[in-house]
Amino acid sequence: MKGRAVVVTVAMLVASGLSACGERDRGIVADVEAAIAKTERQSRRFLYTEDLGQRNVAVRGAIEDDFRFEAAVQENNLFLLEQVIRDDAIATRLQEPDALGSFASSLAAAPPETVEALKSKKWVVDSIAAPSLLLAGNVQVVTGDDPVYDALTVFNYVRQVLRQQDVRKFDENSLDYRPKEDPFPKPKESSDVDRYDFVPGRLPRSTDLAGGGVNQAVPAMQHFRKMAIYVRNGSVIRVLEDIDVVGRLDDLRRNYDLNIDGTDTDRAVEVAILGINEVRQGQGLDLIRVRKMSFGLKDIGGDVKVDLPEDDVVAGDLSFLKSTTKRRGAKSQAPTASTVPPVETAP
Amino acid sequence: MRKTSSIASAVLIASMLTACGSPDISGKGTVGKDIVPIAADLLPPELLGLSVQAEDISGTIASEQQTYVDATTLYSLRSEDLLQATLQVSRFNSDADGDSAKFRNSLLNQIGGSRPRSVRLGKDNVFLTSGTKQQLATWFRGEYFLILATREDYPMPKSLLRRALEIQP
Repeated sequence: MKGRAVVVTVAMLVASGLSACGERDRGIVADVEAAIAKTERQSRRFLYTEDLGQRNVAVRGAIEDDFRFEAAVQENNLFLLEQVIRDDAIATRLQEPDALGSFASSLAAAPPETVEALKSKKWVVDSIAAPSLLLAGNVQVVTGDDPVYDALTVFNYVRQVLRQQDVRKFDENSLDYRPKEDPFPKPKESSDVDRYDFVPGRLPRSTDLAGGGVNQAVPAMQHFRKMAIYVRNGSVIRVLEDIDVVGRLDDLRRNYDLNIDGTDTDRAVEVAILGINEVRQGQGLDLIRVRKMSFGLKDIGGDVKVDLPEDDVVAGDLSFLKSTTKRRGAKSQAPTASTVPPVETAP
Repeated sequence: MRKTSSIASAVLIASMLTACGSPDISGKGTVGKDIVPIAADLLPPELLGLSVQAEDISGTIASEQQTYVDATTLYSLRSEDLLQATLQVSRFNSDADGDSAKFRNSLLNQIGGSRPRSVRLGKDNVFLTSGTKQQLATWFRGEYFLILATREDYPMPKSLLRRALEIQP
């Protein structure tokens, strides 16, 4: 009798495991998408950081709604710039005059009086240069080109990752879980935080083909990316990303016959990514950015108000900045704070 | 009422939710000649400095068959003589399932030349898309839907939209 009970138990376990498998993945993707959508519908404050080893960037900001938001940018702990967007108006204050070039599409197009005001650390307000209502579909913005844009579009980025990588609910008792390969903090025991992990894909082999069989398949971000999303009460409170090349060095060495034996780990990563990015550039693909990214949210749904500055303000033409509407001729690059996708096509 | 301009009629025709293609609505819907105007005083005479005037669109909609709308008015918003925007206010008839997401998506997908994108403005969800040299914003107010079309080069489309969201039909 006892033996029979064990057989039944084992059979039930296997059966429930099988039936849960396919549905579970779809459900988890839906859970993550729902958490993103719920978070986007609420006002919030955020801190975005990107650690590139030699360089780190931080963007701290607040979002009242999709047309009203503000951001302050730091690089290597140096305060560079503040921006406030309120409907059609944009206000900018530079804290580090030498940094102006990195935020401009074209400094040559900048009115001298506006440049002078910015370099003297005054707030400059342009009443009609805020980002366009619509982001042109053919505009591709490279990560790192505009940290404010990157910070405002983290959820778009996560949605893209959702299409590229498998996602699982964190379970430290899972047979798949390897604590030594987990760079992210675990939710505290009995906490109300759920964590979802994105799993890096299998590295392509040197003989694999892509692009309709024309090009060599080359590793991409999704082959190195570890990402975790933390959700509390149905809203996203944190996103962490680690582009982990170190953990893939053995696979790279084996798949691509890389000669990196005897070099230290940092140098090996540098050599590997340099080689991969050369091929990617040759194929017209975006480059791999080895980074650690963190995006934290707070005051979700709180009373977040974004107002234009009133003191020490001068009017100016800011359309030469990357984050403006480019209404005077060029195409729009900057988005609203929203990352909500288009509505579903009706059946 | 002013006779409608070509940009205004183009916006309206693209935005009307006709019942064509739905298999079970034969005999239902409101024909164009039965569609009545919205209350004339819904909008103030000026909106963000633009003069507001109701357009005469009766000729344009007269030939429409089986629509889900029983009242509509198209307002022009001009600076001097230049048409900067139009605002269409329409009321669903009793055949419309105006609260359902499927019905709304079906309507939204008839508007503009690109898939609508949802943005949150205060407590409102607004759906943005683009038309020929214009930006289109659509939102719902109970049994009404509103469509604001602004010229591509109008400098303050978001401020105008924010003001238009204050309108309560």
